[in-house]
Amino acid sequence: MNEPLIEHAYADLDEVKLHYLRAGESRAGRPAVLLVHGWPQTGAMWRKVIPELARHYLVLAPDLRGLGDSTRPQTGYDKRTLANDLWRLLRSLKIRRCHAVGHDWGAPTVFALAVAHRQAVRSVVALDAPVPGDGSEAMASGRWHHFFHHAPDLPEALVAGREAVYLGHFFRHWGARTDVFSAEEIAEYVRAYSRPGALRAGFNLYRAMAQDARDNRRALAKGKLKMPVLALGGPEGRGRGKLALESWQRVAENVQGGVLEGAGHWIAEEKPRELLDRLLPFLASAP
Amino acid sequence: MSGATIEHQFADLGDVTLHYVSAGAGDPLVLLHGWPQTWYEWRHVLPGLAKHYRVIAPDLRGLGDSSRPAGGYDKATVANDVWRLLHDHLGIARFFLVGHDWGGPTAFALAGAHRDAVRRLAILDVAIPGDGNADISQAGRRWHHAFHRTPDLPEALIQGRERLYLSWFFRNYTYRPDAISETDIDEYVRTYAQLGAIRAGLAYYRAVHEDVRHNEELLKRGKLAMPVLALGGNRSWGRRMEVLESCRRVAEHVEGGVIEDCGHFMPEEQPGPLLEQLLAFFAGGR
Repeated sequence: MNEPLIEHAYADLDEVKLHYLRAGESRAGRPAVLLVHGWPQTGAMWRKVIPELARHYLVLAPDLRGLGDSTRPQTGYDKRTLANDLWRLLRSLKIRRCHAVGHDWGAPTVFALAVAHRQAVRSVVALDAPVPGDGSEAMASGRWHHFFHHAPDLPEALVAGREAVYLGHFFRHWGARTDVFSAEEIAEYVRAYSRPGALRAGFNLYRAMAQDARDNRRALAKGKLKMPVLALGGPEGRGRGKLALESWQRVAENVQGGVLEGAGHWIAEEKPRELLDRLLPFLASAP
Repeated sequence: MSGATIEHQFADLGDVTLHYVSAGAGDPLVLLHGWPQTWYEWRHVLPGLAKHYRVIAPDLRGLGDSSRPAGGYDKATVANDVWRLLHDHLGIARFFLVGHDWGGPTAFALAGAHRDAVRRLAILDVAIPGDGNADISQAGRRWHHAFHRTPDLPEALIQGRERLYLSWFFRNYTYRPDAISETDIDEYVRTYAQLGAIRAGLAYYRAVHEDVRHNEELLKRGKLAMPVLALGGNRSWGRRMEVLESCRRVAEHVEGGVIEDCGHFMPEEQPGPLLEQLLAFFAGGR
């Protein structure tokens, strides 16, 4: 069987143009899976799981607003706006319902999509990230880069021209092992984050966290998520371990998951096979 | 700085050479600076203090114009440098002591090791590691603590951008961002841009777990008994009442509170009110 082709595509949504990876046939009745990356990454982080997912699903892996090869608007880095970008991407492709998978900041983005469109999101998979506004301090706790990124202007000024040094730190130290990423893989992320405006856009994900927490608390006042949720954390390195499951249990009614053994923060790149073994049965069982 | 002649001197202590300034005559009073500063942070209060005291303000190990050894940035060792300067080099047996920022934990370590030598102790805008509070970083809000403890990364990002980085603290941790002028920043950057100075400064943060253990041991022999004045800035990144609360956990006799309209850099933001408080406090011990 041939590897499914991964296409690069763009969606012009007026104020933002999203770059996305697309794989799998788009024939009637075939369900769609949306894969949403975090910081400091792009849709490329899903490269190891896309081929197998694409045998069963239409797979879409966008670069979030401001990141990767998407355009970089001045504003709109709260997760509700990012989620609305994704919603408009789905509408532009005439996709009415999908499964949504998010890693790192992609997970709160998927949460925002799921609370805004409770019928359209069939199931949620959250990888190594809690939800801001879940009633805990889990999001930033013990992570200095959250507070550093929150400072206006300073992180851009210190990191500009040294993107490989800074991003390399996270890639080497947040996984279970220091060799999770090859030099080529790191170079691709560094390329994306070295573009003018990309650092700013990435740090703005963090600067919007207070807004995200307020938005999420307001959305949760109307009730927790009801679609099935699979929440997995990495128990090694700087992975969040059981924190991911615990956070999602506070914001959704039907949550399963726990830790993915052997993984640090970079679950989809450290343990792609083991992730697929959890992901495929979960997606198949979701309504 | 009318009225006080400030002399710059050096003391070769073997493993480290300390630069220190001195001014005035009378009972010795020692001023210990913090990060990212040097003796220069005391320039506004030094003349007023020197009218009554023999003031000595060293550059701590690794910083300012002192030498930059590879190790020894735990506060017990830094405090012992100061002890050797005062006791062995200058022949001073008893003294008043003030510490700001990392100078505070250094002053605490010095007072804990030489309880009869330190007559009175003033702690400015800092908490004491090992005071029983698990976290001196305000639950991560003071992100630079954990950033500075990260190996190698802060050096790599700050190298060549020392002015940009230091200025951020001077502009953001103050209540009045103009308290520390561009010319003043020139003086701080002059030494912090020198080879090894950033490394040495970061090493103060990297030793904090050792400081906690050391202070916990020290407190097993009892809290400090000499009078302590604890002051925090009440604005911006000033630590407010946290300074007094921390000092009460490590000393028996603590007074103090906040200095109004003041951020973290107290001796430069509110030198007048600070000088008044220090003079009144130390006069009680004469």
